[in-house]
Amino acid sequence: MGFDGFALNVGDPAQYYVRNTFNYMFDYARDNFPDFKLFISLDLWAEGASYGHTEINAYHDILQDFKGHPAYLQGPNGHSFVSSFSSGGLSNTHWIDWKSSWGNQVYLVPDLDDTRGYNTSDPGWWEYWGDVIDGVMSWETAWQVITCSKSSILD
Amino acid sequence: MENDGPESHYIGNLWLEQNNDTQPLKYANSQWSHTGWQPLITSFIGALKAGLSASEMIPPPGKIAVGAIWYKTILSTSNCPNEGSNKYTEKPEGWETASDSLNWAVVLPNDPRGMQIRTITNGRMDYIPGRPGLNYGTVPIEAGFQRLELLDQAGNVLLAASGGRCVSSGCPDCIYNMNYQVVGLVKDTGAIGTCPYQACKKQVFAHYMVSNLLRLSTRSY
Repeated sequence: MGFDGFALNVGDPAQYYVRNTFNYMFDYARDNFPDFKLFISLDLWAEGASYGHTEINAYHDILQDFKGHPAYLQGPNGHSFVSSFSSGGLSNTHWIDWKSSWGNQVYLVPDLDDTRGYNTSDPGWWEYWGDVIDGVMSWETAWQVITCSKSSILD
Repeated sequence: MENDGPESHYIGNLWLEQNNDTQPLKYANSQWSHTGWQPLITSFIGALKAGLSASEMIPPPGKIAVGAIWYKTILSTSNCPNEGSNKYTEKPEGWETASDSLNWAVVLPNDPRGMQIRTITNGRMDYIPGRPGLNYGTVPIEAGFQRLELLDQAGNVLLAASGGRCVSSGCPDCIYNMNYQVVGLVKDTGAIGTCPYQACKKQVFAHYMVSNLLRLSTRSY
């Protein structure tokens, strides 16, 4: 179809099928489509709903086991590309500590659109988060804000 | 190619692991394939990577055109008889903002040579002159059969998107099902469409019987 890769957005890394699915997808991509890359997105919003609180370390094992896979996407700094859905309510220092736990060998491009000033690129936002992240992204083409006016599903 | 299986923006397979609730299986199953969107995405990716505009999009190699129609299959005026009996039968959030529309997109060659797009909703036809690249639009939808045709200059049908589920003014799934039928533009199968009466099967046993008899006699869903 023309895709270069997939984000694997994981809401609960403890589910039984996660590892089997990853094994299959990573090996299949490596063996059949070597230019096709995969990366893990930490769905901290769903994960928080499952656990009752954000437990970013729940992702430790799958990151540890797949971030060096030949089909895993590496960022421009040569480190494994990791994204997210939401900040999980974690502060900038939480994220800095998390990156440190990986020896800063991460290329972090989270979706932090639950943080104030994210969607307006507020200078205060950059001051707070600028040193934490390597890039920003959004999932919001898939979830529109519900408006008060009538609109077509074409929009 | 999907996130959280039951959400309706999927374009690929629905995997049971992410779609194992009874309710989502009513509106996200094999009768609700969204693969009809894929050729449009291929065309979009090609244009994006080449830095081309929407009007410079082209069909993938070997195709006259690519396109799809998509629409929800109940109307804003539809009423579900068991509304509110549990959380699944409530109207979904944002229900009142959805319009009753037949939505379409078609990518034509750089020189469309007088091609036209014809939408047919319950027999009502609208004509749209073909322009180079991405053509898209929406027309008010009516309960009944839905079809889009790509016509050549002489009015011959080159390709058609048809055969998707009919739009109902009732509530055939017993829930306010807002998922889209997505029907790709392909070689015309000649489907002109029949729309057997579909009742909310849980509610009225007699309707259930009628609906099953119709299904047996027409072999269609």
